[in-house]
Amino acid sequence: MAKNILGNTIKVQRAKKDLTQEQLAGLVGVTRTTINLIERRRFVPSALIALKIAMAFGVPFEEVFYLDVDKSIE
Amino acid sequence: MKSKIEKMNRMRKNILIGFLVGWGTLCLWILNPTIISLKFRWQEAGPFIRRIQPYLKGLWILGIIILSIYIILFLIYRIKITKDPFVHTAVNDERVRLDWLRAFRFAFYTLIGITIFWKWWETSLVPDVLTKNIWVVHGPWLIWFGSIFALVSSFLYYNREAKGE
Repeated sequence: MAKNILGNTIKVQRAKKDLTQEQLAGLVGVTRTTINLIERRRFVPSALIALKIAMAFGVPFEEVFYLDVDKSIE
Repeated sequence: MKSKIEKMNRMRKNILIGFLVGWGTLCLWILNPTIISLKFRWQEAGPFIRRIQPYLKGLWILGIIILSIYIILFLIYRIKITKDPFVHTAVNDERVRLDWLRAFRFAFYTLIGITIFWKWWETSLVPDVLTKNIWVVHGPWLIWFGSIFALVSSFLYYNREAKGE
């Protein structure tokens, strides 16, 4: 069965805003490692952190996070 | 220039690694009779133990020195981090708290595992214990050192960064 995972466009948004992971971490108030793990889909953030990330980019939530399907689990 | 969050995060990681090394050294020292008697029975181990005594004492001193240094560094870290609530919250973000939780769970299972092993060891070899023909396992020390070691090392493991991709 396919599993739903939380996809994100953090890398793209960071490139648009010319932000490093460390700078984004500073804006959101988490460690750089946390941003790194969220970006690589290894860690699912809480709604609060996810909203803070979207706010840091100044875009709507759904432009940064979306529901994806992990086909490798099928 | 590195941000303060990053700096404090790295400082905590270094302190935990240092603490783990110091704790591991003390662990080796406290468990040395067990390690030694893996090869030698107590009756035969006398001269060997006497020969390595200075080194074992060194191990104890080394462990204490390493632990003391890192405890002082930890206190400095605590003072620095409590001065800035924003950095404090960021360094202990939800992922870090989750990693600690997973580390505590792992340490708990380790504690249970060691306790079962120790009780089995103790009860299954009663005849050998009576004749003193057995390697000594320091049960309480083993549990204490094993669980702390498992806690800190598993936190560092869970807290590592994802590589590649």
